[in-house]
Amino acid sequence: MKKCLIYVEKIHPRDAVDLLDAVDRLYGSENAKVYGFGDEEVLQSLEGYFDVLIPSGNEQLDPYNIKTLTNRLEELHEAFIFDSILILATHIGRMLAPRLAMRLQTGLVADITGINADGDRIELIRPAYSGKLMAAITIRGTGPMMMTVRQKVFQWEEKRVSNSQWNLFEFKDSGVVQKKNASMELLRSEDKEGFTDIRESEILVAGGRGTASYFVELESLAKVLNAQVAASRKIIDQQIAPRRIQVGQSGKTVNPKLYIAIGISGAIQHIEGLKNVEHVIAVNKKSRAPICSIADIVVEGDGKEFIEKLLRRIRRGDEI
Amino acid sequence: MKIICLVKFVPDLEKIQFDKKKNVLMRENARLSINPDDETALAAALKLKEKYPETVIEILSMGPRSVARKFQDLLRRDVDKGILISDPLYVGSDTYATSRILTAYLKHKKVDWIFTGTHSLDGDTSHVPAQIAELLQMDHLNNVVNFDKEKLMEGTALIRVDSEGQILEFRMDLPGILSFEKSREFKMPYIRYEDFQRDVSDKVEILTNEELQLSEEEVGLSGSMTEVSRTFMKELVNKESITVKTDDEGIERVYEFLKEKDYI
Repeated sequence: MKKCLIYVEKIHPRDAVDLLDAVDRLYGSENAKVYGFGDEEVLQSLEGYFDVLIPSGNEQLDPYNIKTLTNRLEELHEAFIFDSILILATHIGRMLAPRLAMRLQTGLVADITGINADGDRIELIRPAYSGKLMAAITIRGTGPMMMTVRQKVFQWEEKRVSNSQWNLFEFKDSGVVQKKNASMELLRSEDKEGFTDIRESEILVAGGRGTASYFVELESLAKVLNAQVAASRKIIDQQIAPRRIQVGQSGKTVNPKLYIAIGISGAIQHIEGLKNVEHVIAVNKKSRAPICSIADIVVEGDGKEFIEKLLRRIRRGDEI
Repeated sequence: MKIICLVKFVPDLEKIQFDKKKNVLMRENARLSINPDDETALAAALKLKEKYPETVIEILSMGPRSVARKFQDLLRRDVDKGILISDPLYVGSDTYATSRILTAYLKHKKVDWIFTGTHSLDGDTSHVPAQIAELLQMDHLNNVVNFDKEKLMEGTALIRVDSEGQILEFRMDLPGILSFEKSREFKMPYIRYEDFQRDVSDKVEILTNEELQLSEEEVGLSGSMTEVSRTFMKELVNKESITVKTDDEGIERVYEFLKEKDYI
């Protein structure tokens, strides 16, 4: 039986469950004993998904107290000797995972998008060189094998066990972690006004390099379709749009029902950000752009003209 | 106050071509330039020095000796010193080995703040800053967009972080590592005209394993915990698709599709 540890972040419990898909691809779900570690109240909602639930301690642990988190995960590893540790590539996860890998003196692969397992030989897949090609990476040394996974890359629905077993692990530093003593603390957080997550949207209207001169126009089409605007990396690099709406390996993985890609050529690093998208409409001057091979409809032509004409057609409706 | 800026030089990925026959990347033609987020970090340090001239800025980088010229361009700004770690032994180091090599230098230095970038254009793992933080037992934050200059000089930084839908504010005591994200706040200053050709070679120090004294097992591929076992091109699944133009007929076809699938 392989032992896997999943760190469950307070604000992303559902996404942590999706990591069970990765466990399944690594060892087969039935061959793995999965340990979930996180705040007790959060773990309560995850009964049935993980074999073992380990509350992070009797005090509310500040999730940004990454040094303490690292200590606790190290203690858990010493007690259970995990075969692999999976962490979501969130703001916290991306700071925690590398620190823990260094502490445990083991290998970590960031932002994996696939797993090739052939018995004990396991390759973790991620795009390399900005998506010019894919790299299969193996972990050297004695393990544990560590990986970070971005939200929505894997998906898992069903419960795995009838009853999760609770393990009230006693951490050495339980109760002695005083927030005030920490050399770093979160003072306040403020929600950005009007922030919407492109991962929550059923329809995305995405613009690439070809839309640089008219990117704002995408908004009007998005509005009519009740969609959100997304962008490829080229647009982010030119600081035309904020990084939070970037689709792709260095941005977000999205799974809308409909993806309208305007002026996006579709490098692997971009295509890797699209998972289980039902329909794709690709608008491009070149009908041979890579994105066109995954499209239901390829519109060969100018993106701006496409937006204007389609808007006019939608507004006109069926009255004729 | 001493700030060490970790910068990396990355290839211009647009110029990299893939040799499908040999299954290798042709990197020879790719020009190297400073990673954008690292440039932001250096710009932030320079802005701090503008206000507090007593600040000492040192740049630390690891890479081939060929970046020395690019390196000098950075030093023609108000940077005090540049350390380039370069040794053929270090080729093939993953982020784990790289963090240990950089730390071999950093651990002997008195440093108040380490500034660097969050994302990199090539690997984009963001591992190295966090791993150095672990080795030096420092605090570390990603996605830093701004900070209070006065407080930072006093030793307790107030740091603004852009995390997804939230703006977070942290307090961090020195020494610590701040990984910046590209922002409009910090732009790299131009090189002064009279400094264009200035000889800055006295500011550059190139360190090899001779100085850092790491064992061969700790560096390069043998010191790495990950290994690229193979690279391959991803085959895209070809969908059945229809191709139209942006004429009335094409737009009508798109409109019908949207209606048929209940999108409008």
